[in-house]
Amino acid sequence: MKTILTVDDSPSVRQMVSYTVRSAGYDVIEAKDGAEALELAQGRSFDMVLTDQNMPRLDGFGLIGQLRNDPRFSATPIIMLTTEASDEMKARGKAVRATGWMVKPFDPDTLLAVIQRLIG
Amino acid sequence: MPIDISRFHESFFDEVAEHLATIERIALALDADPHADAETYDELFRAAHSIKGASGIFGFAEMAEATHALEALLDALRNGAIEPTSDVIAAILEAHDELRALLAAYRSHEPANADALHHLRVRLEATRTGANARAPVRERRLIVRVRTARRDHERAATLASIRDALGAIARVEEIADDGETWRASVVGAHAAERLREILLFATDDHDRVDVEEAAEAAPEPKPLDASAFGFFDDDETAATTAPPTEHRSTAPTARARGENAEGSSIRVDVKKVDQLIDLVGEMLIAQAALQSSLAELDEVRHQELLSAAERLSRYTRDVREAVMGVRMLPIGSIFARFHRLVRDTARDLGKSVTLQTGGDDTELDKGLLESVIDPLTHLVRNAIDHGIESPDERIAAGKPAAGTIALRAYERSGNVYIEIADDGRGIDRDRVMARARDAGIALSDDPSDDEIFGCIFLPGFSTAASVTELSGRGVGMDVVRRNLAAIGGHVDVESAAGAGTTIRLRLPLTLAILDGLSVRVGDETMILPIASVRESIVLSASDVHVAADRPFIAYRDTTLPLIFMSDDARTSDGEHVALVVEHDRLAGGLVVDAIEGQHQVVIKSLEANFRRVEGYSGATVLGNGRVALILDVNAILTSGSFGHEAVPKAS
Repeated sequence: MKTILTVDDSPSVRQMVSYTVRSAGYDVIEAKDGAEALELAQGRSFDMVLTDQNMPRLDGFGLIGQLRNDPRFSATPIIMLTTEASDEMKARGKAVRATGWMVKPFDPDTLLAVIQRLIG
Repeated sequence: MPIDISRFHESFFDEVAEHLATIERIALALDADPHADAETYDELFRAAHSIKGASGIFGFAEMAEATHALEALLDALRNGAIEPTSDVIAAILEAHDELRALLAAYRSHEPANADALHHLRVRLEATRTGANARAPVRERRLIVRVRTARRDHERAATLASIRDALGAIARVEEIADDGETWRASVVGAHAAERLREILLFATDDHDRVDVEEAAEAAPEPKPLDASAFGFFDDDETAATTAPPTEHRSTAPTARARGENAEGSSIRVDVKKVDQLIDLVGEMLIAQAALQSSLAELDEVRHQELLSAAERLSRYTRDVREAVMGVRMLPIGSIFARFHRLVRDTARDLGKSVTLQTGGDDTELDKGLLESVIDPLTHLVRNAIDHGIESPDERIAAGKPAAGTIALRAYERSGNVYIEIADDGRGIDRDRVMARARDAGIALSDDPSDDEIFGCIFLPGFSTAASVTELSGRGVGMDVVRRNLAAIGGHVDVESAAGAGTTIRLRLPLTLAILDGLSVRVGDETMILPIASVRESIVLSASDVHVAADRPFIAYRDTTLPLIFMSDDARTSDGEHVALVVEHDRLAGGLVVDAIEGQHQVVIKSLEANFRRVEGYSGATVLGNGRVALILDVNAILTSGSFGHEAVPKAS
């Protein structure tokens, strides 16, 4: 079973993402911010990462940048969930080598469509 | 595959409430001291940002839109584009209020107030761009409905004072009265909650007041932008796009924060906790029954059984403590809301007041905590209105221009105390005495402070020179005292002219369990709250005197009215046991047949299980399975006539 790491400081959004992803047959690990996600990533790898941008301690760009420095995560699909699809966001996302972005609010079906397209 | 995300709504609502609390807390802190660090501005921004993100996902479009405007303002604030002026803070606080109202509407499945939200967006936008920092004051139409148990001229007087109270702060436009329900349509800048608070002063338990926002046209659902996503591989973004703007915030730090306790706590429905408490109550009863059966066994032959029972009894007590502990909340959670109240009230009155809190960690049962909010609100308002002088007066008296109100909580000998202390003008002893004489209240020749200050808790007593919007309507302090008495609490006052007033509330730790003294009355066992028993005395028939058909005894250097709880106690020539009970400043001797013992009893509501019975505050189940009534000492002492008839009889 493929495992997805979902990172968001909002418990309700995290629950909703987990529930959606789990209902499509994936395994989910949750982290409440970038720092916790990095800790989790020390001990294991994931098939995909879904991360919020704005979080306390370590934000989404920071998390992606650090994950990409780790050879185990150099090719892992990482999707940034963001409230705005601005050029600035896209430039920063590209700079840290995020795989893609998804604008909040998203509906669960779109989320699954994106995941399926990336990891099947 | 359809995915139903409404199951996460509760969790979302709780989250929004927490973020709103953060916004209010930081806004108030910035109001007091604008020199906050980047971290604080970040936290403020992130709270609005998180609400926006989650409300969009869960389909709460109005909230997403309103927080979008707030987020833009907070972003400008953290970037240093605007400064935290009082206008900006006021806009943030208004946003907080409106969002809280919106949250309440969502929770109760009511439509959002589209008009208010529109004004909020306009105001936030204007504040951010500095175009016109003042949005027009939004007027709302509120419907006030009053039903009262009073009749005739009493009803008319109450309605008149309600009308006056409303008229002082808003336009009263239509009044309809069918003799049963009085209904008024009121237009003004105040929120329904504020009106309700103001009407507290004009009403009491006899009256039922409902205030609600007049129905508005349902908001048009506005679809949010369709969601979008993209991948950087196939995306058109050029690397030449604008670099990130300089933020006031520093780069994200990995600074650990203690406040996020989410990982170590869970949310539990209060009903589940209450169910646990009920079960523990049953367990205590079963435990007591077991204990009384075991007491008849031979200690040597059943040593093991008895020692196991002893351990069980100890663990039962521990379980009870632990379960009660779950319902305990730190009082700081309600103290926090007073910062706002003090700020707004002081500003309305043109005064400068600083609020200090202490003992925020003191824990109190959730139910009790909720029932002290109203009395505390009233007392804090009173302190600002009557206690704290105007800045000019204070300077003339050699005090700092800003007054101080301190809210302190502490636990001592099984009670929780909450103090409201102000450094204002103090209560004018002479004026209270003069008022008491005018009102025909008997005072002793050389009355103590306690006796004089006690007057302010009597119904209809007021020394306020001016009737302000806030207080001084002569109803209030008696309501405070009654509300506290209803939860087994007590209030007293200390005051020094020119130096300030301290009001001290004493509360039991919990509502569910009582330290009781069981007494035998005829064939019945009754429970007296130990807190109200001063002592027990043994009387012989010759000690009892009768005057005006009322029995009394000489007690210390005064007299004590006697209340005979049963005919046996009244007629027997032998010795009686009288328990000296007191409540507030009333005392009396309850004559019972015998004292049986001391127990912790689980209080069962009579209203919930049977019906309200005058003279009893509840019932409990004894170890032998029989039901014992818990005496309401306050009701017995204040029933007015300390005669046989006035006494609840065992039946």
